[in-house]
Amino acid sequence: MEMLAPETFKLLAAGLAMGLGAIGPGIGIGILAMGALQAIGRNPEAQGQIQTNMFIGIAFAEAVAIYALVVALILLFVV
Amino acid sequence: MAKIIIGIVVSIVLIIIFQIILPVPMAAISVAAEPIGLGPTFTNALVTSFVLSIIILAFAFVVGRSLKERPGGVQNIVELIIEALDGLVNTIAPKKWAPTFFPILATIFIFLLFANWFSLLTPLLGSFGIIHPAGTHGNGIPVEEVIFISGSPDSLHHEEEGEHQAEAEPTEPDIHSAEGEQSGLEVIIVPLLRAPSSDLNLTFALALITMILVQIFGFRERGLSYMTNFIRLDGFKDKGVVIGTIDFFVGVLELVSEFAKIISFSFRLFGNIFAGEVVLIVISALVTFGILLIFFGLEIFVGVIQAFVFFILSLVFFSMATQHHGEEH
Repeated sequence: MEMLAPETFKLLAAGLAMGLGAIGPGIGIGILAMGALQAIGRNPEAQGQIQTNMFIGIAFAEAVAIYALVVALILLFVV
Repeated sequence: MAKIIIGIVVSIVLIIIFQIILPVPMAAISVAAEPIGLGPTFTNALVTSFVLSIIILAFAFVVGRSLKERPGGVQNIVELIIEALDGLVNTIAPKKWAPTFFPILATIFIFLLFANWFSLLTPLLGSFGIIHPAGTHGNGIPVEEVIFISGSPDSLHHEEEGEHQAEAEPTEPDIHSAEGEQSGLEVIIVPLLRAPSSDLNLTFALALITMILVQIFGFRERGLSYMTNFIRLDGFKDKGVVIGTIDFFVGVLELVSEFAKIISFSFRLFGNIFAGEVVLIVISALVTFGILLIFFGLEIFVGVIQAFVFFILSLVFFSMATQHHGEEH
């Protein structure tokens, strides 16, 4: 087998970290938006408050993807 | 139906024609903000954030001096924004603290909004800058595709002269391409301006300020009992050893999450805006015309949303810190 440079695995690891790390938050944000839209559909008057809470929830779900991004950046530029 | 098909065909043909007439070279993407020659820490993102702060301050000063009973055009818009933000702060924050929170949060929101929208100009601003020889790194732009304004490409070898030539920008630029003179040489363009929030330093500083303010507000409202958020010993007395231990570690987790919030705050903003910039650069190198507009629309939306998310999250953390323990649940 041909020898692979360590650089190869670094790039592969960074790509995998970001790609796999984005799956969970993607599903989570989808579920969040679905719940919020259903709630708005049932109770349109509460739209403002639901939207605010939805953004907070999305921000927390997104934080997981951000940790994946941090790991990917560390793999690329620090390690 | 036929009109739609004709429209699609015409735009595809236009895209192909523009692609051939006006090819855009792929700009160099750099994660860190680059220094522009006035010291190692004086980066292009710093220049932009200074310029932006001065513009916003001047605008606020001018509008604030000329307030009228019956507001005109500009004052109406400003009042609309301020009142919307004030309403949001008042619905979420405790009544006592809302006047304290509002100026800080509104400043962050307005600054971040325009800092984020600055990234829309990246494909334009990325092409004005100081020229360095690429060296051995690769990923430079061939000299044939670079237009020098009032200068000859042999100044490439002296970096100091390169700065003057890019910053001067005279009224009647002596534009000539360096075609054929030094073929094979590649250069890197360091842009003079870069969106402030695509620099991790700015977003990290804002996140640090926000989270330190959370602690300050918490201590000012609740005194030393604010520490019981993190060091929970009450559970041992009331609920026994098992629940007490769990409660204690929940407190430790709370302390760790306080630091995780700094990281997620700063990387959320940086990641979104920087990724948007990269998308704009890559798409403008792939498709010169038409389709790029869709991504510009997306980036306008992302800029507003990210500024709003930063605003609303800091508002929620401020409010949570100033609420007493009983009311939280």
